[in-house]
Amino acid sequence: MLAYRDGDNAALRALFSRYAGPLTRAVARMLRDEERSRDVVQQTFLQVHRARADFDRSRSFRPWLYTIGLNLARDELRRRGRRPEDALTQELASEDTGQEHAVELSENRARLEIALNQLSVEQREVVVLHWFEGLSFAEIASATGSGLSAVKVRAHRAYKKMRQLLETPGVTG
Amino acid sequence: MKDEMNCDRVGDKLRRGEDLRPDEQAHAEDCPACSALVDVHPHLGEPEQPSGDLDALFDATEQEIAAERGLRARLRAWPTRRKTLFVLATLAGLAVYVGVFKPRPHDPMYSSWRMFGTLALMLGFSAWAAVRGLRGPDARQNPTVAFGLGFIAVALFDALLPESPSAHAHALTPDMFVSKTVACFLYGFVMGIPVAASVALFDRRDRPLPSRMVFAAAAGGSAGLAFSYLHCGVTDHDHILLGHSLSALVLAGTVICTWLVLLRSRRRTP
Repeated sequence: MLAYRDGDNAALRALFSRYAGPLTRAVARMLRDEERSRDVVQQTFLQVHRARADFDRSRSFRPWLYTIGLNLARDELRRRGRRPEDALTQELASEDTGQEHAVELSENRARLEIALNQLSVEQREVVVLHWFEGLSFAEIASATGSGLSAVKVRAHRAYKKMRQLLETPGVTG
Repeated sequence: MKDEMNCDRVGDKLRRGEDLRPDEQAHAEDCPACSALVDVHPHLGEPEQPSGDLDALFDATEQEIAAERGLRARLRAWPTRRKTLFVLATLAGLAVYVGVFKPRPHDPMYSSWRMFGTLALMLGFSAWAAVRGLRGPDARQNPTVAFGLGFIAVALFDALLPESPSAHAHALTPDMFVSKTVACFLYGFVMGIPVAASVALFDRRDRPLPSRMVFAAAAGGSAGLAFSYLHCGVTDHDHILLGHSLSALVLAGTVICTWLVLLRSRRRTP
C-alpha cells in the first residue's frame, strides 16, 4: 500500500490479488448477494484510491481495507431497508429457485447461512471476519472502529447464539 | 497482549482443525469468546473460495480509477490533514478579520464575548470535525470535515458582506413577528443547501447525500435563524437575511454532528 500511496500504480494489482477475494467473500456473507458484493468490493478499492493519501504507514492495510468495505456493505444494507435474511428466506422459499438451491447448497451450509443471518449486523461482522476471514480480534476492532473488549463480547454472544441455533433442530430450517 | 496472542492462536488452530495445547486449552476455558468458539466451531465449516472472475473485477476497478480526473477527483483525494489545515487557516482568517475590524462595535448586542463565543463554538466544532477525520478512513468522517468547510465558507462570506446602513433596532409588533419568523425559517432552510453542497463536494462516496443529513442541515439553519430572530431587536430585512447565518450555521453544525455521533455510538454497541 505504501508503494501505491507513493505513486506506484502497478502496486494496486498486487493489493487486489491479495485482498479482493477474501473481501468479496466477507461482503457476500454480509449482503447475501454475490453480484452486489462485487460492486461493493469495486467501490472499496476506488475509495482506497481516493483516500490513499490518508493511509497511515503505522497501521496495517487489511483492517483499513475492511473498514472501508464494511462501511460500504452497511450502507448497502441500510439502502435495502431490510435485513439480509429476508433475501435468503425469499430465495429458499421461491418455487422457482428452491430446488436449485437445495442442490447447490448443502444442508449444513444453508443452516449455517440462516443462522448467520439471525445475528445482528455487528455480530455477523465479527463472526465473518474472525472465523471465516481469520482476522484477529485486534484487527476486527480496528476495522469496525470498536473497542477490543466490545469485539470480544460480540464474538462471545455471536458464537453462543450460533451454537444454540445450529444445535437446535428446526430453528434454522 | 498475551491474551490477544492466545485468542489468535486458538482461532488459527481451530480453523486448521488442530488440537489445542494445554496452555491454549486453559486460555480457551477462561476466555468467553474463545470458549464459545471452541463449542461452536465444528458447526461452522470452512470458508469457501469466492466465485466469479476477479480479473474482470480488477479491470473494471482500474477503469473507474482511471476515470478519476478533474477538480472533484483532486479535492476528494486531498489528505484529511490538508483539509484540516485549510479549515483552521480559514478560521484563523475569520478570527483576525473579526478581531481587527470589530463589526458593529457600537451595538451593545454584539459584545465581544458574543462574537468570540460564536467563534469559539466554530473553532471547537471544526477542530473536533478535523480530529475525527484524522482517525481513520471511515467515509462517514469525511462529510463531517466537509461540513466544517462549507460552514466556514458561508460564514466567511457573510462576515465579509457590508452591513446595511438602514439597520435600526426597534420593537417587534405581532404582525412582524409572524412574517419575519416565517422568512427566517425559509431562509434557514435555504442555508442548508450550501452546507449540503459542500458535503457532497468533499464526500468520497459516489452516492447522493443521505436526505436525513440535508434535512438536518436545513432544519438546523431554520431553527438557528428563528432563535436568533426571536432574541434580536434588529428587524431590517437585509440584516435578518444576512446577519444571522453565522449562528444559524453553528446550530446546524451542532445538529448534524450530534446526529453523526449518535449514529456512531449506536454502531459501537455490542
